[in-house]
Amino acid sequence: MLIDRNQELLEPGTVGADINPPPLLTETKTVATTVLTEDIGYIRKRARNLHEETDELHQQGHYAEWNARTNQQGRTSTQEMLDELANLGFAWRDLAKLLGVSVPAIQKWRRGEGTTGENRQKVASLLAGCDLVSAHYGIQEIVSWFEMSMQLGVPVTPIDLWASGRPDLVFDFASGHLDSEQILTAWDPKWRDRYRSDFEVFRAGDGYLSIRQKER
Amino acid sequence: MAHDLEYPGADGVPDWGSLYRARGVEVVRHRPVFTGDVFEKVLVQGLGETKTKTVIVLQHPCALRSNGVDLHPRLMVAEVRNHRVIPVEDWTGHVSKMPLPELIPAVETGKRHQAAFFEEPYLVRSDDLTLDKRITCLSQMGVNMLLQRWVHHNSRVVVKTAMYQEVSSPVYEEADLIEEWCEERAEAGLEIQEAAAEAMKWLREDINSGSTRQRMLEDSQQRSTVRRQMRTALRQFG
Repeated sequence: MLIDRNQELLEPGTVGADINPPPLLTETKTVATTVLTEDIGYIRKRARNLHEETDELHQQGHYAEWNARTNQQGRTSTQEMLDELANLGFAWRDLAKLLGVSVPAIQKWRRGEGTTGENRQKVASLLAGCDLVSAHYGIQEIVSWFEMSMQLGVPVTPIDLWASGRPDLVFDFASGHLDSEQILTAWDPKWRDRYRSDFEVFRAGDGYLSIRQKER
Repeated sequence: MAHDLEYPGADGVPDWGSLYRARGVEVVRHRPVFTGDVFEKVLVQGLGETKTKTVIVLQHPCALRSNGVDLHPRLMVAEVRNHRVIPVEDWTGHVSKMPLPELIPAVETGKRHQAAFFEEPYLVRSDDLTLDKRITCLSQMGVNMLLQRWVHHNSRVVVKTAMYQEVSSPVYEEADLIEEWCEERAEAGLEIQEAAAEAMKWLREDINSGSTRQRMLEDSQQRSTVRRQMRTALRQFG
């Protein structure tokens, strides 16, 4: 049987807090805290599972809605959809990158030359993606958002995520459920090394942007 | 992670097509001359004699024009000629060249793959770089890689292409907008030079106590606004 040594302590004086040994626990207390630790561990595990399940469910929701919006957008012609994307402010070269085609291909579509069903679907899905993040996450100036670096000094934008086939990360970034570091790591685990640089951009004496070595 | 000369593609897999914005029949006349444009049949002054060569423009985008529209009378170029494909793992070598694989994808002969040779630079008259002689325009990434290799060749310093991207983005954007403006205005009967001057005037217009749309292009967050404004302005021409 353990003795409650708290009962046996001398008057500790002003330094008591420093010299007193930690209180010993009774067997009952030990058992209770063990149970408590196990309970909390179990709840934590459940919370983690629940978190993962809701993440997955949220992504499924995004996909389902994105698909529905894509089907809706796909009813209009490719030319009209491109006009709409242009009116949002996209550059033609960025649209080419987002859709995985060349700039001349986009120029042909703009002139009304035929597109394959697959390409029409790609255009519709981009427009639907823009609709989705604007509608749910209140993102203003959607193109400007697509062109925004995800972190200072890291030239990765939502355009890069989308163009590499990761619209899920675009939606997660828009929703704010993952922070930019988590998104970048999911996209490219080596991003920190890849974009570390000893150089920086500055405005030179002639007024133009230039590159120089960073001060150490 | 040490950094070296880059290649087009990722994880050791080449993506040669990503070097180019337009090749052959895809090249449009409306696009202003830019760094990395390849011209054929250009007169160059060799050692004692004049020859015609295929060349690539080396001059930095900011150093091409004196007033935003007119090219400097003479520009620096390098000769472009046939060269075998350099595999991506060897792009860290061949430092005196800019590989241009699949430059002419329509042919299967040795002419299909070429390279720019930095050790064979020339100064050419810019009025000889006529748009009908242009056979290729590089993509922004292609321009960045050309600048990376050209600067390394001259200085032995490797700067990541992401840095060139940051510096050259505003001028690449400007070229895109002028191309779009000229294409639209050509339908109204304007000559390219006339339309380009009109576009530049619009870009340099004082819009807010000294600020211009050209200056706005330096901020990636304002570029889409300029594009929207430009498309609205073009629609107003009717």
